[in-house]
Amino acid sequence: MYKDSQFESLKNKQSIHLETTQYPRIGKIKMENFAFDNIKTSLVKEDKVSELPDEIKSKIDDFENIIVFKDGNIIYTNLNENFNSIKITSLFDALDNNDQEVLSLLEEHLQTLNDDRLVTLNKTHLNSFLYIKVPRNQIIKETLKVYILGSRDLAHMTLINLETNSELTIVEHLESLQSIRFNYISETYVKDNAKLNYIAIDRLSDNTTAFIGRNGYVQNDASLVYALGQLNDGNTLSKNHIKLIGRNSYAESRNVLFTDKDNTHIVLINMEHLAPYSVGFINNHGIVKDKGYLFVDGVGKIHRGMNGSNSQQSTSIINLSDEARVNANPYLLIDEYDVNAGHGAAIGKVNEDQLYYLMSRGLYKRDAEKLIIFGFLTPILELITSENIKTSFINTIDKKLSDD
Amino acid sequence: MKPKLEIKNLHASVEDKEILKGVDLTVQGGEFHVIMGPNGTGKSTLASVIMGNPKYTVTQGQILLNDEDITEMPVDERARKGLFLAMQYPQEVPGVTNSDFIRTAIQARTGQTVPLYKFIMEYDRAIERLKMNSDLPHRYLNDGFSGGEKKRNEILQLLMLKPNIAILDEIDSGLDVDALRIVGDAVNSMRSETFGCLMITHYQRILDYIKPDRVHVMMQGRIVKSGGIELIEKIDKEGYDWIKDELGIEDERVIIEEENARPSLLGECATRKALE
Repeated sequence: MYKDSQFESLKNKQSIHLETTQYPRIGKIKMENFAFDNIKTSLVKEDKVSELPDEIKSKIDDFENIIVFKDGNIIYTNLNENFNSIKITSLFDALDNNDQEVLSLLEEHLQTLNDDRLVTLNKTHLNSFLYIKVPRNQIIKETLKVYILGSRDLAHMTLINLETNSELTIVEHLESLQSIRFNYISETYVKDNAKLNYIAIDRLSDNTTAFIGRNGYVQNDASLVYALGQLNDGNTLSKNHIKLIGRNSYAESRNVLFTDKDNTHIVLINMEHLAPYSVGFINNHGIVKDKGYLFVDGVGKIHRGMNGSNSQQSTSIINLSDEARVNANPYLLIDEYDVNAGHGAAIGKVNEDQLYYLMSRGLYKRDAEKLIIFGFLTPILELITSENIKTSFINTIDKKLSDD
Repeated sequence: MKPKLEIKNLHASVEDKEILKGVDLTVQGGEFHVIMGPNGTGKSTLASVIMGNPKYTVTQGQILLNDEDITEMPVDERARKGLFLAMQYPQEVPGVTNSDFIRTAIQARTGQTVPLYKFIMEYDRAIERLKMNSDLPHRYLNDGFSGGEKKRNEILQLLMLKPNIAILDEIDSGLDVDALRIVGDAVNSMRSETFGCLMITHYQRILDYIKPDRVHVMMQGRIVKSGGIELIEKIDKEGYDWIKDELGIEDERVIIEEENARPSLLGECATRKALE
């Protein structure tokens, strides 16, 4: 019989590990300034609601097939029968129902020691946990939308399991209802021949400091497409690591990164080829504005013996201000001869010739710039299948572009 | 009211090199003018300067549109006042669809939102008139278009935006005979008292389809000869040398193109470039 106290004691073990773990070293950025250690979490149970309060409704773009997850609780679900076969469980559900399948996974997760201080912090303070499993051979055509909301400090973990031959598209929103500390990790397992489209829209509010770590494991013939829209209003460290562990596995990491005001956004993307014939693409489109600082590190790593693999990465960033800073490093680390690989990064202003062309038809400069910028973001926008979410995403960027 | 474009003693330079050296020209509603002349005489520069391309600096003279001085006006404002330039090399803008672009442009020009249904009807009709593919509205602006498609797309924009004064800069280059006829018909359909047109070309072919009222020849950054349609026939038979003889000049050019000055492209191997 599993008890809350057992869960707490596992977390305590992790806290001892904090004494020896370090922050990742990223350029000359002082991670200490982010004060991730100040996180204070508590476990608070909340009941489900039949009607969402207005404060939360205003954060939601699409009410079809959604789960609203607030401060560690599933407070609202509206899913049609197509989702009946999927298992969706919170920490509280698992503890209440003594769900051994979920608890043992969680226990295994909490027992593993990790060198990264941010992951260790997450495990030490874990107060929010979501488990999503798609069983074998289940193909879900419709999109699952998950809203993860925090009104107090959150150390959250999402664990997604796509069993063999299954398929799912998920849109995950991170939103903060207050200025909070947000430590988020997700672990995604895409098993043999399974297919996951994972669209993540991070729209955390001003003064919310966030660590967001997303790990994906892609097995034989499986496919994982990550599309990240990173539109946070506060400082953010976003760490994305995809491990191609199966032969003929395929992954894409397509990211829209928007950094404005005086925010620092650090985005690390790691595509690791651990199997032959694995294919990985990294594609970053960034916009910086005001006094923002965007730091993008992309790594494509092909290990020895992983022949026939293909690793490609491109980063392009538009700088709209003289005071903003950008640092983009596209790395390729290759330890095998028989591979295909390419990398490139470009930083520049809005193309003057395109701007002149559009303006020569009467478009105001601001409208012309917006058209060009949204055109630039099209490769990512086209991945968002829900029209409502796409519109809301565009509106968020539109608003950021218009703010002076 | 008849629209009127007046150019008075226009001098313009790019990177401190003077290219236009005193151009005088008036185009009014109902008139079609053509500027001819060999390469490098400043014809396209004139088109760009009239439109307000920020790469060029006007050092002397004036451009007036309907008696208003637009010499210092930014390009977008000139366009909203009814000026249009069909460009020699239209830009490709990936990610922006033709229909989003043209609809935004119409809205900027008229200051009113265009009813979607009315817009689609009109756009489809214009596309058919220019014999373009019906998927055009959803394709990205000039992205991956052939040279001829780009030119037709310029004329399509002309039909949709209905300017008062249009400048067509070498709209005929890269078009085959069928396309010339289609483009010519479309431009001719605009003919009215409220539309004036200035064509720039160094081929005569397009003039078989669009008949100009006035013909000008440009050399050394100036209009050196003006006349009626008979001037075209003479140039067709005898070339430009007789004009050069008349003027007593040897080199008619103001822009000397640098030979083999191929720019390095992004992604080109820097080491290999250095070794060349």
